[in-house]
Amino acid sequence: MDVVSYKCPNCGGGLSFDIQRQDWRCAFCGGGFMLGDLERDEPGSQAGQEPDIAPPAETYGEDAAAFSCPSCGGRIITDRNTAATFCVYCHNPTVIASRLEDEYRPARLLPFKLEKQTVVDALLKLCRSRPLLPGDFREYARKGEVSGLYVPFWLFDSDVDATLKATAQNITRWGDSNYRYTKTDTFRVERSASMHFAGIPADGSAKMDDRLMEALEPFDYKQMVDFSMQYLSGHFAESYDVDQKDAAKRVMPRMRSGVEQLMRAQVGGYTSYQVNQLSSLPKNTSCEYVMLPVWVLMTRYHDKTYTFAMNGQTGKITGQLPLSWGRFWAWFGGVAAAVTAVVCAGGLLL
Amino acid sequence: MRGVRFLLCAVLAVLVLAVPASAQVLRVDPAERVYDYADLLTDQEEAQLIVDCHDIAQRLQIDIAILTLDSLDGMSIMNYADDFYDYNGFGMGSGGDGLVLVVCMGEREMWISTYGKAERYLEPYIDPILNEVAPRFTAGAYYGGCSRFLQASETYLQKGAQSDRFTAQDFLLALVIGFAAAGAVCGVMVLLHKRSLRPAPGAQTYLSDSGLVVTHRSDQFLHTHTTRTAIPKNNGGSGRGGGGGGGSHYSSSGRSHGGGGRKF
Repeated sequence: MDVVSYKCPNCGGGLSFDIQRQDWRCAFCGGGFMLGDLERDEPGSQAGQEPDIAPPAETYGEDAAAFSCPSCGGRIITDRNTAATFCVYCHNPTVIASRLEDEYRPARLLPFKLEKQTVVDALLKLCRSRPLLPGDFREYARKGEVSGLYVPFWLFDSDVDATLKATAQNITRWGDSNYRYTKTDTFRVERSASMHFAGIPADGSAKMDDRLMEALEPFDYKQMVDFSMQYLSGHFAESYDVDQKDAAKRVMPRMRSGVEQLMRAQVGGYTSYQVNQLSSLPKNTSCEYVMLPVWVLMTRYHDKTYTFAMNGQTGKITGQLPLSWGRFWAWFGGVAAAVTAVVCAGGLLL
Repeated sequence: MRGVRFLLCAVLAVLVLAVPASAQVLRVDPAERVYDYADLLTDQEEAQLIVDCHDIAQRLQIDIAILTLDSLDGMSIMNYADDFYDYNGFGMGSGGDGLVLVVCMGEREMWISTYGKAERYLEPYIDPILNEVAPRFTAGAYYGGCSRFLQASETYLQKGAQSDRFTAQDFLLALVIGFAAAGAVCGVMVLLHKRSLRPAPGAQTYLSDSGLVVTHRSDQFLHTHTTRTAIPKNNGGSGRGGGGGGGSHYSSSGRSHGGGGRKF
């Protein structure tokens, strides 16, 4: 099993995951199917249409591979990490099963909850009341290319034992008619705590901007389901190319700074304190491979590509908007002229 | 009807009582400009001072007058000088600009009351003028003191007018302030603009529900330390013997006057 296209049991059309109904829809006959219906269609089962399965990939240079479309036989050329895509010829959703096997098989997946058309609205909302945004950017935002992408994520769980040692002062001040007094009581403060972090995410795709992916957080993991390839049908998906170890390199510092803030909050009750030592020891660190839904909107504006990402579950949108230097200097000049005029007028009147 | 009549009577009474009360100052013709009631000057000297006053007033468009008298009728010299200026209608131009020197022989005190442009221009120069005039009065050279007052006033009025003018330097300063303000405003705008990409929430967000369990907690007292500093004593009162403050203040007519004076 290498490349799979899920077919409508009624008419043989391509099936895509329908976000609104959270089931699978046939683009041709409009039939709707549950996950159970599709699973029954796995090879070997009697009922319904079998998924089309194409022969294994032929290697295609370093970073690309070519597959034959199970529906039309056309050649699908993909990146090394593409796990789900569409056939460029027949536009049928295609899942590359070989990239979702063994260690590349995600444990869980969070299905898309928000539909494609919400992305442009969210972006236009992001553009609202931004005086430095180029005036015509909204048009480009509307015309942006939107694609739904399951992004590979590593979710880290960890128990942390932390110890904080600090010197703290309580300062009291009072005075009489002749002197001002300052009393400084000094304390040695120690706090130890154990805490448990669950699901600190780090994206496992080198292609995705880490800052962009972090800005999308948080996801509500409660809505995650056990992984099935069927969910990918109708969206793009990537398998990870940043492994667990490299992802941990990003998560650990983040966890450490979180631990520091939590430990500092435990000091309390002093006028001031200085941390002398902070140790945090993560243990029982575990990691889960999941796929999280991200809408990506790309738009070309004045020869530069702007990428926005929207959390496919919560609708939180993020990305760097272009800045109009013309508007910037207009504001700068306007404010400078207005303030100068006001100061001059004030100076003349006085 | 009766209430209205009563109110009218009350208002009239207040007016009748109030006007003379605040207008106890001498009433004079403001065109003369020199009033030597203490008889300190010869007729010739007085005539000369009148001519000088007129010249200065014409040149600068700022009224200038001198009053000498024996008694203040219990008023402070500052109030007397202000009222004398206000109630006799001194002042030139739409701003009523001008100044008056009041010399009281009974109290051996002098006061310069300034108004309008004169107040603005002379604000930093009242003390230098007094420094030049007072010693002459002390020595009994009243004409010398008065003519010194006129000369010094003219010099400093011109100086004040010069610095009061809006110069290129002032414009440059305004421009710098304008650019600084624009820089600050636009800087904040750029920061707000860039907030479309916000940094990730801290890892605290992912602290699980069981949360954080404190396993050890100690607060050990090490030592205490008290310092004391003496509160500086305020010796109270500034030490200028015969001097009178001045600065901007309101006269009984409700106008703001500047000026200053001292004993001689």
